[in-house]
Amino acid sequence: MKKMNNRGFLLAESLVVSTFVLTILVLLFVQFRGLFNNYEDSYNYNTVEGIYNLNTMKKYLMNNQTNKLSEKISSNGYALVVSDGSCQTNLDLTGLNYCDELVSGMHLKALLYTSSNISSLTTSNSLFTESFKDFLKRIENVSNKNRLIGQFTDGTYATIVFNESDFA
Amino acid sequence: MKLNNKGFTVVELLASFTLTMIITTLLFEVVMELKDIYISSELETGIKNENALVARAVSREINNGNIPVDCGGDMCILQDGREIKVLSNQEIKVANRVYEMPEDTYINDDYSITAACSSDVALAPGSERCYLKINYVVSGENFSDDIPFNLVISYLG
Repeated sequence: MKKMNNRGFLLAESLVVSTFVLTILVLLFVQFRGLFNNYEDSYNYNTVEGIYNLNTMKKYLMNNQTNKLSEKISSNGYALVVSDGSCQTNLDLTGLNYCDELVSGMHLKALLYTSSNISSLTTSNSLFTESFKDFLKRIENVSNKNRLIGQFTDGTYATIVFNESDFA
Repeated sequence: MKLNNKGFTVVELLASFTLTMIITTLLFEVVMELKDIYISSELETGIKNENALVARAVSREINNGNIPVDCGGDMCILQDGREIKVLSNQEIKVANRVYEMPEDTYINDDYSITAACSSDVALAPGSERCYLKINYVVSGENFSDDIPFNLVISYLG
């Protein structure tokens, strides 16, 4: 009988194959994790009621356009209209009680009124949480359009754009 | 030619069976988990769709001038006599259409449909700024996180 070759694999062969298989598994994991995250985000970003609620806030701001609001946009590029579920008093907004009622009804946690360029918000601003910044990173810049960005207490986010002339 | 008829040893067979059993068990768990995820996401998608339809219907009525005239905390009667109301723990009526939540889900009892007005100095005298507010939470046994619905639509009263 012919003698069997029972030497097995060399250590180098085993290492090469293991590394190859591990690399493929890691790549697959990264791809699937990205897909999974996108899927999770699709539930939390731009929900229909969130967009309707921001539209309600837009109507409120259109009727309460103040110099302070415009100054904030010009100097900082954004104005924090709602923070911790309360309308900000430093913007000279009229009907603050009404604003607070709207905010509490829609369970709005924070509302940003921004100019078209929002790239600076994502980098250096310590006011926003990491999840809020993740949402900001997903937003595409639309030139010559202002934007409202809202964070709701249930962990959802929404944004709408509008012409600057709407607030003129 | 002489055949190699040595076969497998008991140890080899036991090792391979054990390995196969472990892999099968793990795969089964993964499949069961995927099934649960599929069921819960299907329900969540169904609820989100119904919520979107409710939001659109309410917004359309208000924007067409069919504003609430009488609200009692759990329902609102609109100007044309139709109503916004939670009919059962699965159904919501907006004007003449009924929106039904998916099977095995239910609207919690602590829902509210209210409207309120606030006089506003920025508006013409006699005009009031009002809002309609709808809040409810949908739960189900097949998903852990409740899905809230909070909608506020403003209008001139």
